[in-house]
Order: sequence, then C-alpha cells, then structure tokens
Amino acid sequence: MEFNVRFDRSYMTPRTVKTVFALDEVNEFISQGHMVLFEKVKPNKKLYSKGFIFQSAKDSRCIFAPSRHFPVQHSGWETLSEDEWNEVMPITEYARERSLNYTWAAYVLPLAPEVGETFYVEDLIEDILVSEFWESKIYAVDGIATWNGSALKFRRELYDSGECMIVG
Amino acid sequence: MIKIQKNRLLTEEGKVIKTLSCPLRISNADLDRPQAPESQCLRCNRKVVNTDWLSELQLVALLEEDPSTCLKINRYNPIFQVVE
Repeated sequence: MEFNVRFDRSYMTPRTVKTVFALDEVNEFISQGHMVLFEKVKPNKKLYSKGFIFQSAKDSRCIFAPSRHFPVQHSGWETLSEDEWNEVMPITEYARERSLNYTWAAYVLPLAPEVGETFYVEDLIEDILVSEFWESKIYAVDGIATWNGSALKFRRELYDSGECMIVG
Repeated sequence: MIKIQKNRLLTEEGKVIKTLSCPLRISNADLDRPQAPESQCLRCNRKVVNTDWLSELQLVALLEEDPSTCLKINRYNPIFQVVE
C-alpha cells in the first residue's frame, strides 16, 4: 500500500521535483537547463514478504499464507495442518514492484533551485517501509526535501511509523 | 465504516463513540508489543488495544463498554475512514 507524506499544504506550496527513468528524458531536461541527480534504485529488504503457496488435500484449492500457523485479522490464529494442506512452494514478493524494473532513476530539480529551498518530491526513488497492516507493507511514494546546494535532504521524520498511526 | 474526524470516532449514523485524546506522539517504538492485540505504552504505562485485530462490531462493543479504552489505529485499516 502506498503512503503519501502528510504535511500542511495550506501554507506551503513547494515546487515539485520530478523523477525520470530514461536517459532521453534526462537529456531533455538537461537541455532545458534543469539539474538532475542520479540515484541507484535499490530494493529494501524490509519490503519483501515471504510465505508459501499451500494446496488443499480436500479440494485442491490453493492459498497463500505466511506460514502454517498465522494470525487472522478478526478470528485469532489459523493453522494449516500437514494432513489437510500441502506446501507447494515458498514464495517471496516485493511490495513496490516498480523498483524491480529499474536499476537507476534521476531527480529533476525545478529551474534555478535556491539553497535551502524545500521541494515536494512526487516520486521517491528510495524504497522506505513506513508501516505494515497485516500482510500489507506500507511504503513511501513521495517526500519533502530541502536542497542544500549539492543534494536533496529528505525530511525523514515524515516516514515514521507514527505517521500511519493514531493513538488515543 | 467508522469515521475519524477531528479526533472523534463516529459510527455511520454519526454517533460519537470515542474522543481520541493522547497528548503524546506515539509510534511503534513506544509500545512494548506493537503488533500484538494489546500492548503497553512505554511512556504512560496504559494498556493500548490494537484495532488491527478488531472488526468494526467488536470495536463498537468495546467502546460501549469502556469509551476510555486507549486505541492504536492504523490509518490504512479499511474499517476506518480518516477525514483530515
């Protein structure tokens, strides 16, 4: 599931940093005078989910489960016994599929960025796990960052798990 | 679906079933067992019920019994609609 950073947009309307994944796009922006920042796309091990495909010995139905004994949201724990369920194979899934399709990407800064200027980054290159909801990984897709003259410094606190939580 | 609006939990009929009032900014690191059905807040020692484990009916029943129950709510839980 996608997580969008929460910030007060009413008093802050930052310019947007775009993200591109192809060199022809990079060159087009460079020709227009934009600064681009290359970054490797690296999967985050926290975004992997491991589990198994199990097949029912009774009716051959197949299901995914994280293990033979696992919690179910509204009904406690469920057990898939070896008598009733055959393990077909272990599988691994990655929450942010996009990141498996690229090895690099580049941020395109708005024209004439000022040192200290804060930007909205609409498509985060880095894969960050913010929180989880049962089997779903909640990952960041955007961000707020300040330009320091050589790099974008992201506001990391916006990805704290508390951003997905309300306690009270 | 339970609506969360201005720190209040409302049923679909608009009845307020709880007001969220924690003055602390709590994250998973502040709970002793953040993924468990219940955990203890390491900052105030109160018991915190994890609503990830509850159905809407179970939650409403819990709050009818004790509206002061401290809750942990995941914004991505489909039983809630957070109205900013």
